[in-house]
Amino acid sequence: MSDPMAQFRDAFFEEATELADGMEATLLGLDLQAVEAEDLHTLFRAAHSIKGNSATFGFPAVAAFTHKLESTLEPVRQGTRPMTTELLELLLQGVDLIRSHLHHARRGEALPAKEQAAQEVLIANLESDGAPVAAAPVAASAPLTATLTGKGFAIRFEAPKDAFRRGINLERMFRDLAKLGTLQSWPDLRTMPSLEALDPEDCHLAWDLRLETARPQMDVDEVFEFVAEGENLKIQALAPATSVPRLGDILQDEAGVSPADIREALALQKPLGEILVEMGKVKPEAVGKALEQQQKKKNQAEASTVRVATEKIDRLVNLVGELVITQAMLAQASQQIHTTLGEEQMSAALLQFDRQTRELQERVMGIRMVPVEMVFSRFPRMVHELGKQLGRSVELLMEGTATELDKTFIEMLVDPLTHLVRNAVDHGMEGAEERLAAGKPATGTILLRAASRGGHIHIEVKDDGRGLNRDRILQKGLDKGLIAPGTKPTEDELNLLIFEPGFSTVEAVSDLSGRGVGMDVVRQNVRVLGGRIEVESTPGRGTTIRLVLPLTLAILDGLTVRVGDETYVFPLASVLESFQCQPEDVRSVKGDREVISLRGEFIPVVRLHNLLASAEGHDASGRSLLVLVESEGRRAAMAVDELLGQQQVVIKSLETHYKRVEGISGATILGDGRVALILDVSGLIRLEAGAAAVEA
Amino acid sequence: MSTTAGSFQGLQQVLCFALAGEAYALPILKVREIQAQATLTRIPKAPAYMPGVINLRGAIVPILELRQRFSLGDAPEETRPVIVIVEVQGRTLGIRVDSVSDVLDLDAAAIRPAPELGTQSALGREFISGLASLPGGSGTDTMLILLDLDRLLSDSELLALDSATA
Repeated sequence: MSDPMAQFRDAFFEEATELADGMEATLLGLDLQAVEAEDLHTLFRAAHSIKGNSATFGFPAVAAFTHKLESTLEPVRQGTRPMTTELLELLLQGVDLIRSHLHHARRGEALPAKEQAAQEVLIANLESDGAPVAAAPVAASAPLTATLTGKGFAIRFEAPKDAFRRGINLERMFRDLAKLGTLQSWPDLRTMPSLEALDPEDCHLAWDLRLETARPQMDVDEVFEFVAEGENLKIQALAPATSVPRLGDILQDEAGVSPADIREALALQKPLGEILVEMGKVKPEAVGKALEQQQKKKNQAEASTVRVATEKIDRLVNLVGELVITQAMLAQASQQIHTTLGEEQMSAALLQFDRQTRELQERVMGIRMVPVEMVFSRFPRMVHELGKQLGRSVELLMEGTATELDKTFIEMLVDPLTHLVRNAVDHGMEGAEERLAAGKPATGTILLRAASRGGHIHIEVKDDGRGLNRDRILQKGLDKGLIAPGTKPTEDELNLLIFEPGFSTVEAVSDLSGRGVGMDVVRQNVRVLGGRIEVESTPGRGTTIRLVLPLTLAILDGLTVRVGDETYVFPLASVLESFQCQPEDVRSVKGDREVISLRGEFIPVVRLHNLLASAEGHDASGRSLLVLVESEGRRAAMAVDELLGQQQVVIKSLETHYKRVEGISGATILGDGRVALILDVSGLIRLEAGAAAVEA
Repeated sequence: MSTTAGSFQGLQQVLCFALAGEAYALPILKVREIQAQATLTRIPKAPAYMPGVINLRGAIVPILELRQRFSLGDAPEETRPVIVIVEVQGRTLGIRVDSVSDVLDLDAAAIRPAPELGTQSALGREFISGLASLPGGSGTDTMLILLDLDRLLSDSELLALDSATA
């Protein structure tokens, strides 16, 4: 039923996009002073592969364009053409065009006219060997697609008004065209004036033609050579046979509807949103928003596949094989459970079963894990462009690109990291003179680093720029009412202020950054992912922004505790320690606030019974069991009734059928089928602080 | 005996249940299943009529205590409440009732609008989509209260919170 080529085409697009990414990375990594021959070969090979594959899969336009890139690279590779900065920029633009070609081809669309024009300018530039060609409006020169187009052309031809007077033999033109292939024509008589107004010597004819041919466009152009006057002739390559035909095309073929009528009908057709706005049913802004959402969904749908290494799958297959054996062992052991031997076998098999299920779980989760390089790879180009735009020399270093992250994370990290890197270049970096004056190298360095540390993934954006100006932040915070006058915020608190919505200390808002929107997005996304932000900054030395993220969204190492009748789960990552304390260790402050002194530090005590209002079953004996937790740099000791154990829990959303609850991050199902709530430590601390403020 | 195929026009199938001695009914199309008792996990600071969640084969589903919602007091000791799982506005929800009796075909013509019940009434007429009287065995008619689930829910927690988080 479905197109058997479809799945291969998807693979082609993915591979071609990867190749284009690879080309970009290689280009950006080129050292113009000493160009490595191997790099040039890599570029050439990538262009060649894209060309070959796109021709195979029926995307001649892509093939034709990459062919041009390839032939530009050939003399460079042979050493007869030097690699210059200009050429490098042109090739980067070329990579962009390949991407855009792929993007449109995937949707079965032709390249938009604007990009078509850009492509022609670029090709002219590439061929001109250095001296750039001005971006003149491209005349109706033969578009490149002709050289490789397989199927044919849709032609709109309006005969010149003076065609009869000039003695042009239109009939013969059509005969010539018909010789090139299969020709269909639809005359368009709408421009014909009424009989009274008609000057019989004027020509008012127009045609829509469809020519199926394997010949290049050049041959078609030749036919129209004497009548083409710019606007009156439009030649378009037919969409490749592989894409789904449009309704209009089918009607044209089957029902004989003329292309002119279809155009007219299409012009009448209005987008649904517009009609609704006219009916007064919806506001234009709402339509805009909905369209944005639709686009987002489209993009998501496209990116919903993961490429998994065969090795990972092989391990899974092995593991499942082992599980089958264990199951047989268990079955056998269960038959002789009453004997000592059977009992022993049973417990051995159960142990094995436990180990295997855990490993299976890990490996299955591993399928979702992709290297962080997927996000990082876009930044060299971005920094390159930004540096050029701002006239700053910035170098980007990357570490730990092989660190693996959940695929969802990768997608959610794109925006925040883009903002952080952009900010680092735009605000963080000084100009070259300022840097030299400060005794730093003229070229600034931004380090992107990913590392896995104790159940968390750390992603750092580190620059060696001027550092955060805390006086300015303090001032701005006071102005915006984010800091209460009279309080003295700590350095950390000031650093984190830059992530507040609407916060920006830069007077000049550039189109890059300074609107104070981006940093808010960073905080938002990181919070959604269950992570936190840390900022370190030394004036004059630079800033490090660290995103600390959990390894995965779906599974959590938890500490289960009992409070009253209920079981709750603390994320193990936020638990520092647990201990028993005597009533006299807990001191009360301001009447009802409680603190405990722990190794010289005063830590607030949170009574979970009170906070979670589940007073039943609470033993009121004086001794307390405290769990010391930390989140967002704040610590608290949570009083619980009993520690039940440590286990991995599968996170379930409360919001699917219920709603968000403050202080609770989700729910899980325990071994006995009961639901246990997972505590949100920073939410609880906020809740407690809120309760204190109300009582005070 | 009245449960002939209710496909012809004007017939509506409803699930009847009891609550504090009254007979209520829900449109059967909203009902997904009926569950015996399940262990409830309390949600902190939740209102008494929506005290917590249960595990419905891996999904976390909130429970609506209809007795609390209608201020009918606690159920007597000997009742063994059941949970009617319904799907409303894309969400799954369990409604705890005293007992479930049967499925009936109601003639649309037999459903009358609810009379004005006054503002003091905990169960205002906004939750009632209509009343129907059923001929009882001994000549006396039983009254059936038809609930409007959508309105019942839009009034409770779920929607209030949706707008708060938006």
